[in-house]
Amino acid sequence: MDIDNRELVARAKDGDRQAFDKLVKENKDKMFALTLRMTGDREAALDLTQDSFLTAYKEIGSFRGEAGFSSWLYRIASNKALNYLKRKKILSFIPLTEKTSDSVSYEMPEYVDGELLNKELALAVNSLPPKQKLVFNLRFYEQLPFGEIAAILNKSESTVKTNYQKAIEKLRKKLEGFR
Amino acid sequence: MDCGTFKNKISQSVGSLFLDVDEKIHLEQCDQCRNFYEEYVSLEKELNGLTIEPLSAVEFASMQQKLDENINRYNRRAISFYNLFTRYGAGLVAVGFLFFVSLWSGFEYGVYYSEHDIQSETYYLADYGDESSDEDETINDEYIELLLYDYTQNNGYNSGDLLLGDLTQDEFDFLENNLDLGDIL
Repeated sequence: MDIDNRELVARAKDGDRQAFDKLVKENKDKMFALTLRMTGDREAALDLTQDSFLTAYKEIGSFRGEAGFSSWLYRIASNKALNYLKRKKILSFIPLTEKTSDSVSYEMPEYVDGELLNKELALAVNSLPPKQKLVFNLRFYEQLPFGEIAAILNKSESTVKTNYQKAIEKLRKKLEGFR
Repeated sequence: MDCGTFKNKISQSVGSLFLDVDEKIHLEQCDQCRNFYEEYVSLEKELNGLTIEPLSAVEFASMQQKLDENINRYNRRAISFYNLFTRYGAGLVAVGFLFFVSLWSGFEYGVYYSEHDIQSETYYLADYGDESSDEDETINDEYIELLLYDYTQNNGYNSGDLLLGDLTQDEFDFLENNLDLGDIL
């Protein structure tokens, strides 16, 4: 954590709202990208990002500064995203509305590029098991080192590496099948 | 270099992959690893194409507004709880103190007189009527048996001491004349 960031966190811990708002502004894009890639739903991603910052505000007193502030935020957002997916999965088993036979149980993120291969790949990424998807997103798109991801998820580094490799293997097979 | 190590390195890498001399030689010589590498590079390229639309200014403003509202609500709740505590704290402490004093005063000789005692008395009065009206009651074995049962059921350990303290002179006389108190109590 750089000195400026550390100072902001210290001020936010003392109840300085401006410092906290600055931390929000600095981290909003990363948190939104992660939650959007995890949920595939823009509205849900906005809610989860907002909720993650609210939790951070309430719990900032317990942040010890051993890891970076953004890692701590990633941890909060990751847990919220995983809980969201869990809830959504449970709800999908409750027949509230009739589903069409070919509907998928997850939503597609609104990727800018709409080519068929990209759609297939986006579908493959979305259909990864939640934990693999989280590890994949944190590593591939957020480009975090395995050690940091392990700390965020409270898992061993080897578990995280295995999850990532499994995700990559699934995507590689998907791409192979498409060609 | 073995193929497993090489593939592991490739599949864990993100972005520009640095290959040392040994790895480059292995890549040139091993068709399987070369195919794997090329597939991986291609996959990485495709995945990098899956861009998302970033958070817009409008979306952020709306999110920030909601966050502000929630933070303000949280602060108000925290402040009101603090005010409530400072305003009524002394009262709460006094009530708590009185509660503990009342609990403590229920202890005598290490026996806790709980609601069982009240229950016992209630049952006793319900079953046998008020003590003042006991003049007509005949004290016999059945009467004593019920009395003992009531005390042991509701008071458990030390029920003997309690019973002895509560007995009327008539009841005590009956027990003394008809029963071996040591065996019973």
